Amino acid sequence: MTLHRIQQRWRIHLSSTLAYRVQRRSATSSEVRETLDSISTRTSAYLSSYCRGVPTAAIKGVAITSLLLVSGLQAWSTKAGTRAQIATTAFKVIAIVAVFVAGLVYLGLGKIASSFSFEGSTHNATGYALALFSALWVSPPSSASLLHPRAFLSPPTFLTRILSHRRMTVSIKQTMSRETVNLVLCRK
Amino acid sequence: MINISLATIVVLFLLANVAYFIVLPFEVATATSTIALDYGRQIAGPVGALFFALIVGISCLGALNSSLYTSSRLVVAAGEQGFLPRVSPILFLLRTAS
Repeated sequence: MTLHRIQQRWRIHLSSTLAYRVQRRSATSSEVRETLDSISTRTSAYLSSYCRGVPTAAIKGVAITSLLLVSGLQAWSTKAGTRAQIATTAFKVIAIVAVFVAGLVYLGLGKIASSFSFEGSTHNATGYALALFSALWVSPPSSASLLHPRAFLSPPTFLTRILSHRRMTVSIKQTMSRETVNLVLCRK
Repeated sequence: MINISLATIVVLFLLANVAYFIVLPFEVATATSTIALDYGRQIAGPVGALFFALIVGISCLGALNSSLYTSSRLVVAAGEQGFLPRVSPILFLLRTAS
């Protein structure tokens, strides 16, 4: 699927979602068009930067190979799967410590690239609402609760609690999303 | 033990994000979708970029492994509790019996 088609699909989906809001909140068409343009442009820019000219077949090939490799390992031996997990987790912790140490060295050399003064930050509430809306999709709370470490110890005991927790987090997420859309359309 | 490890990981992730913003300009750090690669390139050139690409690859494999492990185990548990059809625990029992 080309980026153009993805962008078109986004526009159609968002148009149908926002049309209802327009009727309810009487937002002007220019506001809606501006919001749609902003979201679709950001989506296509993100996708194009993510792919960076790598053929789609290669990306899919790597994904399928990795999935088959991990599935084969788990099917062959559960113990091998858990040991692989320990190895990759240890590697990740070492890597993230290396990132921090390299940052400290960079700081010691006096080469700070970013300013931490918050200069140029927006005072517009809509910007913060959009940031919050984006943050909701970075790590869905439902996934976080599903992968709670205690679920490893006793899945049957914690399953009911996890399911009720998921229901609550999904409800909160949906409410916040709706309020964010309302804020965006009523910013003037 | 779990609480200590979770707190350690949260602190490490926060410190790593601060490190990203120390090394990379704010505009680059917020615009890029491959922040680890850009970080490695800024620190040690193409070798650093390759090193961090490998780190991200291994990290993705680990995430995939843990997702497969936890989700399949929870499906089995949900079948045992009656939240899902009882086919999944039967498959699990067949596997352990063989």
